[in-house]
Amino acid sequence: MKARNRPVSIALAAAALLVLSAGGLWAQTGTAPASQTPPAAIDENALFGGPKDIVTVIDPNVAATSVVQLVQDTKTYPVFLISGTAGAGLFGNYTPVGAASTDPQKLYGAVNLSGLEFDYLPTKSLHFSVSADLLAVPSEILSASVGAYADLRASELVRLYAAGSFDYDPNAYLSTKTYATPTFSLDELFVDTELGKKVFFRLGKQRISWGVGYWYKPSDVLSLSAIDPDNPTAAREGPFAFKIDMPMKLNHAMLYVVPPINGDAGSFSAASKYDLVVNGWELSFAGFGRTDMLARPRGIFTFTGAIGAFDVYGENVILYGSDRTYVQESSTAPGTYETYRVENIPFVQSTLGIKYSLSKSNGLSFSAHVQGYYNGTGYADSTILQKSAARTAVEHSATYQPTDLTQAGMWYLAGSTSISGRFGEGRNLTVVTASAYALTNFSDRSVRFNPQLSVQVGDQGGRATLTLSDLTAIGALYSEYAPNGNKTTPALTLTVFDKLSLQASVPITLDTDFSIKKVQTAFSVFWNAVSY
Amino acid sequence: MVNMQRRMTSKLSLVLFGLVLIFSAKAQGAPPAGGGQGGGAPMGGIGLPLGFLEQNKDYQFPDDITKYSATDFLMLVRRTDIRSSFYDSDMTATITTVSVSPDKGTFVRKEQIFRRDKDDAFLMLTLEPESRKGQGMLRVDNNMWRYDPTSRKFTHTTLKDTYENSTVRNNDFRRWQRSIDYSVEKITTGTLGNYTVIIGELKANNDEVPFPYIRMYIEKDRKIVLKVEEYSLSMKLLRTAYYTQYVQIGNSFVPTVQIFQDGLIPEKRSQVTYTDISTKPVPDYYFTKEYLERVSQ
Repeated sequence: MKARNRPVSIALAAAALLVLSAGGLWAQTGTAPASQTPPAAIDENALFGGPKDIVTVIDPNVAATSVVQLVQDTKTYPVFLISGTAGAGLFGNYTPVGAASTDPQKLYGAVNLSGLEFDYLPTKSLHFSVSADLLAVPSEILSASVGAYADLRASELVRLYAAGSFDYDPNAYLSTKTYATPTFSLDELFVDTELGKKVFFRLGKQRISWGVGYWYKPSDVLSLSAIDPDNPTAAREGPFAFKIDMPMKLNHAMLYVVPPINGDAGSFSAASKYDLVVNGWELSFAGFGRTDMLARPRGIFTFTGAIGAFDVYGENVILYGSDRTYVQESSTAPGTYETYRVENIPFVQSTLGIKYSLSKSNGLSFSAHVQGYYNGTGYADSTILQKSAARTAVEHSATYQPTDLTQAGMWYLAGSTSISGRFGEGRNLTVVTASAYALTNFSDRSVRFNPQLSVQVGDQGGRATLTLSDLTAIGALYSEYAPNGNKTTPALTLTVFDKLSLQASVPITLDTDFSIKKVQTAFSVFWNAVSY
Repeated sequence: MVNMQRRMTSKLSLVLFGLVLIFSAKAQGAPPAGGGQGGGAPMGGIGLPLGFLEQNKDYQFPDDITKYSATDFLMLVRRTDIRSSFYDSDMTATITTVSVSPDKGTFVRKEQIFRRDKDDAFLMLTLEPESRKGQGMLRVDNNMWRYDPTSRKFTHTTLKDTYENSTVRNNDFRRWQRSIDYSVEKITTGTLGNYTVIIGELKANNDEVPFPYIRMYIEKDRKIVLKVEEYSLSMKLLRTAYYTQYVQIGNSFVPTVQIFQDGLIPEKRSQVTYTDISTKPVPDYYFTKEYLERVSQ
């Protein structure tokens, strides 16, 4: 990657310089017409003392048959926009304890692009967008995340949409996930169309998000990738599917058909769902079936609504048989493992979540969220998957699916909480927020939690923002929430005037007795000299 | 065996979808039918107290503004609530919000809104910045859905929840209902520029509203709100809203220029400007999750 990346780095740097110097680009902020910008100072006599009456009367018949333009604000095309920040500074790694020969011990000059986004709209109905995050040193790209999409509309409800992404982040500098090798993916490629504005179609590879859960969504049977425990709202890969939607006021029926994915012409999946809105509650009833029975038929019921001051949601799934390929130690040859499936008994998966939030006019706000999950298809004791031989047996099974090794436990609990206070006023306005989230799999006794303290000075932290966090995973190697064993990562981020950004993190690997095994550090100081 | 399972699954899928269609045809949620034509009288189930509209219609306000009682002022506030709504038609508009922050600079956001007040239905779509284009929010009565085009996820939430982790509550997206949420504490009179105003100090009667105390300045002749000061429980001024331009369409008044002055940061303010206003009927399918998904990125 390193040698090959040099020309790529040079090309990217040249492109970045070109972009930064391009005068024809517009930043996304600060382009408001003067008539729509608030006055520099409030003068009530000026606001209400002008010669013109503050009320303009519009003929109701005119308003009922046309659009009345009150201010001249017509967008002209093409539009070319840029947003995000670009900076340069120092980036380094140092491993003071337990260093291996592969651990970098370096200090680099580095370039950092953060949330850089280019949008090009040749006409109102065409939109091309590219976004990028990049951390690069002169000799290599340390991490990169690039996303792009094209939204090409033939009319308001008929369009072709394509989206793809590239990720490379072997040390997870930019994301909570590790991309050890450069990874290209076609995220979505579909067409939208409709019949009489009554029946709507989405045909192609598409993201699908069923279910109402946050950390656990047993009803989301069509998504292909697992939920990221540290970023549960992140987009997930979806299948190639034909989707038919029929809205009926607030209620809603939909059918998904997933065509053959393994070349077998008779192999397909179908899922249908009906959303019913009743007295502030949304109830969903769904069914799923797959002809090759690799994923078992199931019925689904989900609900979301409020009880008093609490938001409540839940998902319940009943399956005939389990999708999972299980593993157990052989009774005849101890130390070896054999796989099996359970296909002729019903299983239940059920999750319940409760949210509460409180916000006071004095700036005090509080929120709490907890979700429990019973996974009937999981192992009561999933520590067997911490054994390499057992995992290998599953992976070599003829019925293996990646989901066989994820959410393998039976009992889960996750939660988050946040409390925030506001102090002072004017330029010294300070907001202090303490928050934390935690997830635990009781079936393999692994835990993951991340306490965080944030201090923001100035409007939205515009003068300074200090964040302290400590993402900690406790559990055995290959456990669900501590796949790398016991590890804690204290981290500090300081941003001053949105220009100077300082980050330091200290991943500490711990032995099973919690003694320190290895201490790494990663630190950076960037001057975000260019912001759009 | 496998073929038999396939046939069974195919049949099961068809049966399930058939059941869904039958169930769908029978069960219809709000908003009630009739919205497609626009107009019509306000219907039941829109969350207004009994007689809210009727009692105010023929209410006789004192000619002398110094004679206003607490009841008179509350009915005046109710009049402004009613006049801010379109109970006889749909309403659409494009809203530009320009926020100026001493630390964050200027930020522009443009949204398109669709209202059907008689059904308490509201749809908002983000048009700009392009990076947030397609995000949207649909609210009908006490149901609210937010849509994230990146994850293709709808989130059904309630009005008690906060909006996008901000200090704005979902409830703030409802039509004005200050006469329901507040009671009158004190009344005075004064002037704002060219206009004579009746000033009322109001106290919240529930904890669902973001501001426990407000002071309203209502112009005496056309009975429109010109200014609202919003206070914390300790009477700290948190925000001042100025409604500096209106359009009148029939009996409804839309504040088309709204300026908000932050009470804690003097240099922080924002302006909301309406344009492209229309009361043309909005198709029923606009107030569905499906429309929100289709017009997003």
